[in-house]
Amino acid sequence: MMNCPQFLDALSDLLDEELDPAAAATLRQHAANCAACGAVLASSRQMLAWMGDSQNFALPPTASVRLRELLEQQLGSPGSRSKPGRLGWAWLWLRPRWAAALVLIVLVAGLARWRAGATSVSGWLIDQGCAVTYHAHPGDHPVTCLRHCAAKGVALGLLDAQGRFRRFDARGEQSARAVIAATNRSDDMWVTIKARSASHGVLDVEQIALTTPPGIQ
Amino acid sequence: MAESAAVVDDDQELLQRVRAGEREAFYTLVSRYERPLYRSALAITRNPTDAEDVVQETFLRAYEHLAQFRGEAKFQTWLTQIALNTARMKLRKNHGALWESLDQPRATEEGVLPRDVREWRENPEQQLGREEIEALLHQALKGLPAGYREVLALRDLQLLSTQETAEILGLSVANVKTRLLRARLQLRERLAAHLGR
Repeated sequence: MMNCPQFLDALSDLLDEELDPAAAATLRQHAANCAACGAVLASSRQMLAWMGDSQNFALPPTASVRLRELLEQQLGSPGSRSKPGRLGWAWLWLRPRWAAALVLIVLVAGLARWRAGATSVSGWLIDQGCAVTYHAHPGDHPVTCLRHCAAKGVALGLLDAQGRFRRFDARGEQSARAVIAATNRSDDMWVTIKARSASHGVLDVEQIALTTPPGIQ
Repeated sequence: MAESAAVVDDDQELLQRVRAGEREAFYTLVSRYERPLYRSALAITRNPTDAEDVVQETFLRAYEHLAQFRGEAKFQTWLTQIALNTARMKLRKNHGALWESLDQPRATEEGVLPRDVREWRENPEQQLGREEIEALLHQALKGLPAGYREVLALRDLQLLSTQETAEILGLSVANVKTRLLRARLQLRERLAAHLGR
């Protein structure tokens, strides 16, 4: 007998028609007998239909014209410019192993500079792989960052309404979330993480998680 | 599926022509993908001007870096990766330092389980009009964390597959599915406040 949490766990697969017929029938049966799950299923279907409707979030015709004009201006008229494709940094992004090797080199170099006191806290955090870890192991990155930082005498946290530094506990993300919930003054779920160390004081930490892989800039 | 394969083949042919210096072939690709890219960019950046900038920069970068596209992925996937990174850079520039994780359920105001389970009104488009529905969708998306907007943009606006979405976001398929479920439930919850009976 299916219950509501089980139904919700499989809801996306049902909406995407990625279930085998027997499993889908079981879910539909539950939705038919459970008013709440039936309403969630119907409204989710409605929502996805609106999302998939190309009239919503449509590119304005004027924007399309501006794009064409910009491209013609930048690329030139047909046949008037050299062929595309200049080797840039994109090869790193498209070659994860090479990118990983570069990160290792940067990490070693970053640590050396950190020991010499010549780099910023934010640069050191990025060198530590916090940003790259986000892509490789999304669940790990805050903890990994916090532990790296704690081992190096750097505290992560944010400023409360009085401007006091409130550090995250190095044990994990939940404690960080508690601090964020208690002190968040932003209006849109974004928070500015700060780092504090004895040698650097309190500094901004840039791009801890929402980051661009090495590559196209 | 056959249609999709035909589009991929057609993309490859157009790309060959672009590499040979035929600019119009590139504009054909632009016409093909500017709309889906804009939809995603708008959902992620939450701003039409930024979204337009993202689309422009995406095509300029794609043209500039076309030599790196070997055809191992679909051209649309590659373009979307560029657009996603461009949109993220724009967000970072606008918001300064950012940090968030989506892999633990939010312990604060929004849980994973739906709370508003009322049925929605019948025929809301007739009662509200398409533009109002679009505005509600836009407003609801705006309040979601960036990671949720990204997965919704790729799966439900750009209609990419779970596998393609996973490749673009650098996540496992299982992770994409989990994130997508939470994102959809949160988006539905936000819409329910306006559309419930």
